[in-house]
Amino acid sequence: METRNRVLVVEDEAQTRERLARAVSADANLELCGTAANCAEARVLFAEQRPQAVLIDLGLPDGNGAALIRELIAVAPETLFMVITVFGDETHVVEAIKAGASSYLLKDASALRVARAIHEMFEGGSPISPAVARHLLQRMQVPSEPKRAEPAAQLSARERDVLLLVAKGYAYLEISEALDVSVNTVGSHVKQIYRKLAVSSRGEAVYEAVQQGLISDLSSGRPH
Amino acid sequence: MSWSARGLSLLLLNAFVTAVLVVIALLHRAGPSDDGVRVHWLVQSQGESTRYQSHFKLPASTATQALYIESLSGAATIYLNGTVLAQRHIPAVVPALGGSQPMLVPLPSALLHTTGNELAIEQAGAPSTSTFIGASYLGDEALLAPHYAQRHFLKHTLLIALIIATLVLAGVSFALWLRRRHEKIYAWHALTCVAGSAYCALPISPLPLPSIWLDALLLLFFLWFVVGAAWLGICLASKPQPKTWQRTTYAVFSSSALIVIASLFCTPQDFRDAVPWAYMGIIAIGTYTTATVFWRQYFTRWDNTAFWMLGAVMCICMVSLHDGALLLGLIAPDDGFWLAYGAPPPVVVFTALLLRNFVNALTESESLSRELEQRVAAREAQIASNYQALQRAESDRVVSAERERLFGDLHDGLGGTLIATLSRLSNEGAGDSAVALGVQTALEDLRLTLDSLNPEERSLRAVLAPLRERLANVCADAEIALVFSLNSLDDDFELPKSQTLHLLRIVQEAAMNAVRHAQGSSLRITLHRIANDEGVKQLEVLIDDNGRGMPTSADARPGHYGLANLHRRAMQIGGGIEWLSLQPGTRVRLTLPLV
Repeated sequence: METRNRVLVVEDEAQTRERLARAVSADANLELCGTAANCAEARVLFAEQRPQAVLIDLGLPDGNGAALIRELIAVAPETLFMVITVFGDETHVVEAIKAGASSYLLKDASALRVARAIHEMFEGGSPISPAVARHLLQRMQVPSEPKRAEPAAQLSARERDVLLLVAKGYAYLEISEALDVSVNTVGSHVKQIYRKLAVSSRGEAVYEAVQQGLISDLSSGRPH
Repeated sequence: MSWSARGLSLLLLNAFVTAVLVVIALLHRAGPSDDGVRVHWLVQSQGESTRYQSHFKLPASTATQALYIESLSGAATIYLNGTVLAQRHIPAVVPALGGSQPMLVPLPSALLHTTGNELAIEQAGAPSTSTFIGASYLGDEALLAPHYAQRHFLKHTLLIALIIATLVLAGVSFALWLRRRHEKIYAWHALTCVAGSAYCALPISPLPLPSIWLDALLLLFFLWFVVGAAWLGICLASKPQPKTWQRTTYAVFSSSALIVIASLFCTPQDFRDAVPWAYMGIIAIGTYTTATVFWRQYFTRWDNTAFWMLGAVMCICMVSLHDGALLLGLIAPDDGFWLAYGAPPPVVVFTALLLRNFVNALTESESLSRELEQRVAAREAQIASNYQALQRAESDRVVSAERERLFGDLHDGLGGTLIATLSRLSNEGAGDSAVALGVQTALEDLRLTLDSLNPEERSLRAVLAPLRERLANVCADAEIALVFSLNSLDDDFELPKSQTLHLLRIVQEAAMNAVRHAQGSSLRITLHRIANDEGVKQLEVLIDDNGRGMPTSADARPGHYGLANLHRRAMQIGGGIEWLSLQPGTRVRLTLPLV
């Protein structure tokens, strides 16, 4: 039997945490390696268990989930993070993506859906809503536009097309038909967009830090 | 245009002008050589009067005889055998200036003697040096009359017609100048026309003025005409310097004063002797100034204006040449000055150019004002649209901020509580209970409300997207194939916000009903625009499942909350909803009129 993907659940609300934990445990290909109710527990468990995926809530009692994602990704860049949210609204989702999350999940998702979403994430898919796409279009640069002084993510023309169609309300299948590519390609474009946003947001953070005199030597410094 | 071509054009123009002048000259010269007998006059000076005398024998013809004089200056009394035949009262001006007019005097047969007759012309108050009599003929009146008529037309009728036409032009220019005082060119045009007309009219008008005054007036009119024409040409050619204008004004007024003083203090004879030289001076200076200015202005460029202006100047130069020769005594003053015939072409050219300038200015000002109007309108529209965009952006911003705040509040508050409750029920094994279902429905409704609040997502397709995603997950869990068909819906198709939320709720509720109760394997949701039987545009929403179908019709189950609820929502947005049986399955059909 192949090795099961190890999943850590970080959620402050006990009932929801338990439900998510049971959903993960219920799937034969996933292994629950721990549950944490706050940032401190999450750090300890992460260091001990080194999970391959983390389901994480943004609003934690002792800190911000996005900051935690950034911190943990810096330690283990190969880990996949999935933010769990009540509404999947763009404010939360974009904040998480900028921190480095690859996917998001609604908190009331069924056990089946939870497992499916984690598998999809491992397969490289990234869900995206029109509101999120619109948000990304507004903040990410297109190559034809003049360069700004600060580092900003640059979208390829195809990535921009994908975002435009998502923003108009097209589903992945419809986009793949419109652009004459496979559904997987659409998914990988979205993943690439997410990655660019995360990288650029890290760049932005460094840039901000340099601007504020927090980091004097870029080569030795690493953003926290 | 090359220089040689310019030269050729000018040469052709010159030839044309010359030809016109030659025609005028020939008309003047067409004497009745075969139609009468030339009369030879004997001149007698009697103090301040002159008497012309001639004797002739009665010809054999029985027709009425007449005396035809081609040109005679000033007032005159004509006698036949001592009896007064005719009297003429026109001013006795310098003959060269055009005061000479033709005369045709019938000779009554009762006064004629068979032995011999005496013809006499008396010109009182005019010494012989100041009078002029042209070629005269005796003959059949019927034969001489056409010659007289032709010359009378040329020297009188045509002149009067030209004078009237010129005065009309002067009136128009003057009226224009009154309205547009800063455009002095119209005033110059009027002055030129008036001075020229007065100059031509004076010798043929029976004004009872002393001859010296007439001579002085003629000289003044001539001076003003030449100065006006030159200045008009200069103004048309370029913008003259104020200094040039000042100098010209001084020169004109001092010359005019000099003429008036001379006419008051000189003897008539001295004044009359000096008149030709004064004319020569005016002609020479005027011609020189005009020619040099025009040459400089127009020969360096080459267009229609230049062509006609140069032609006009050439015409004036040729006429000046003739008139100068007349004043110098090189030509007999039969015909007087040709200025009256040479001036109209330049005046016409000047008028045409002036009119063209005026029309151009008018057209330009009209087009400018039209352009301005268009620009103002475009600017107004732009401002209005900017304002609307700004208002919309501002209202979007406010809604967006409020929505973000709502999200924050609901995430931690109501939403969080609903999720926690749902989780607890699920953890306690009551995940499928009616309570759990109710909580789930409340949560979904909350999401729909928030979805519909997004101000940036106006298109129905984009608003539907989150619902599509959630339904896709629900259907995936229930192993139902979900197909959303929106292909015939435009990307930017919008519904009013008030309708959107209800539509989302109807689609969600109908779809969830199908997932929970129909026990089918597929669910198809179609939205498209149609026109009903009366041609009213509608949005048609179809929610089709392939399940077991409805146990009874909707009407038969009025108490069923879900269906009644759908009915109520459809009514609220002015739509209609119906349940149709498919083979197998059920179709929920919602129609919504589009405004």
